[in-house]
Amino acid sequence: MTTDRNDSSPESEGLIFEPGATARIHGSQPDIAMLLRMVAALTEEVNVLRTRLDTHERLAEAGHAPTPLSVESHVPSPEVVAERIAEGEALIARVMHSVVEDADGLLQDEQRIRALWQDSQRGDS
Amino acid sequence: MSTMPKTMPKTEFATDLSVTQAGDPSRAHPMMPFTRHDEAARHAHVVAFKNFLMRQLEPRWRTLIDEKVAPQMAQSGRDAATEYRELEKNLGTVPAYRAWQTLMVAAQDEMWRSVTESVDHSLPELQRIEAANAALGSVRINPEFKAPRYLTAVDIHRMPGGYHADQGEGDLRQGAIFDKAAALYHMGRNGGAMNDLRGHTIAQHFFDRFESMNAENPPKRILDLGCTVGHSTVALAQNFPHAEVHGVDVGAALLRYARARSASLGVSIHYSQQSAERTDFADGYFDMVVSSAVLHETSAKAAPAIMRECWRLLRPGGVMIHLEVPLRFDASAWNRVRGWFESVHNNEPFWIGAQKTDFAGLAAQAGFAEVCAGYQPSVRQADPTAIPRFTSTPGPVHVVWYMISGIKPQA
Repeated sequence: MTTDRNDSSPESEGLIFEPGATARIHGSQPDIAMLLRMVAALTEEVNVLRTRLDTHERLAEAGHAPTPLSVESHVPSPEVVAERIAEGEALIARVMHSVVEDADGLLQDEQRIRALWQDSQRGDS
Repeated sequence: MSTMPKTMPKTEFATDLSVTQAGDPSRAHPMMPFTRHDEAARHAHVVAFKNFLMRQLEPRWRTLIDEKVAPQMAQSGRDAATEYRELEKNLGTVPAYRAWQTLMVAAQDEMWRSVTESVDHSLPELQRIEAANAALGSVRINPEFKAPRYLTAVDIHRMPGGYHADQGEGDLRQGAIFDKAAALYHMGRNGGAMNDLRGHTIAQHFFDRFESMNAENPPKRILDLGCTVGHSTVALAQNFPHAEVHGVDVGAALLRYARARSASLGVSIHYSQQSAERTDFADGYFDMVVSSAVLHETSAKAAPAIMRECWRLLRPGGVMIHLEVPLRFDASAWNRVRGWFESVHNNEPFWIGAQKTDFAGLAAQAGFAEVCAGYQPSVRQADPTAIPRFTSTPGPVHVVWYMISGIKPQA
């Protein structure tokens, strides 16, 4: 049993911060973080709208008017659910492409990798 | 052509959804909150986004730290796993890593927000279903109860209101939110919308390790500590149908919902609002006491106290089983960095401490015999006749669970 779960000390690795405190992401700038959250929210809106459009198309194909109640009553088959999941994942991958690109670039960049452990506390600089 | 009206009175939504979603596997049981069309699409998006962050992007960080940084540091005589705090700070120079952290937090917050939207319009119908099943099981709420600080200081998992939020008599909201979100949180890997994989895995662990006891004297009284909405408790009751099953937790709304959920599944369970450190049950009342992913959310003072309480509650020869998340016992450098993220940004204050805690040692200190810690492969349905698979070989979370179990010695 180690002692670093001592909840009486905020400096320990036990209870780390006080109620209401906002944990800091090292190197993060508030405006960039806000934009990232907005991009994430907008991506979700696009995905929801795509799903609704898909429901409308399927209802129309089956000869039903896409009314609020018919949309709410629509129960997609497991195949349709799987198709929508795949389309959603593809949408997310397209929007987030630049993030993956930066991670992949780092994995190929020995200089950047060495900098991660050879220098200390660069994240706050 | 449909003759359906263009608009529908808001108050009719829940009733209509209860019909249209009757066969929807994502609902799993009658008390599961209802989802409107766009809400279901949001929930699917949250899962897909979490999948992207945790299964597409996160493996790159593991490669970076464990396969590139750690070996380089080792060549210089340094240990990346020890220096995880420095590494975590330095990762702040990587734009994609900063983005990953921000988006992980955003996805978690959106999970709770979007689920709450569904719960709030479902509550009238859920209260009707609860009342219709009022006779099955019981719930004891203690108005004087004060949840321990280690569960209230921060909203664990960033769930607004944490486990303990309660709006008073009859309130089910926090339980409904927790239940609906759990399947999204586990991305369906804890037994789909039932979230009972861990409960069945605990039962399987009992069958694997204590086969003769099950054959000769199966548990007649079972207690689930930190039961939340009864995900594992119901599975235990189903595996031991003749047992009297109890569950304790700190949140009144969680427990009211737990009873209603269990009853809607035809299962009688007795829930009570108590601290796992000190309950009001008599000495030696139970044959088996279990917990499911609870210990890592308790403090250094509480974890040994819970072990001692398990010892007090068990009859001589009774069995204690704690299930925990296996990843925390992976000592790789990335797992330490990831653990720090979990502690600080997902409000898991004791995650790092739990990674380093010898829970089997605590069990032995509390007086348990035949204490064993290892990995139990997950099962969707426990089977007392299955070949035992409890092992010392670790595996990924949801595929296996870390188990700590022991017996209270005969006097």
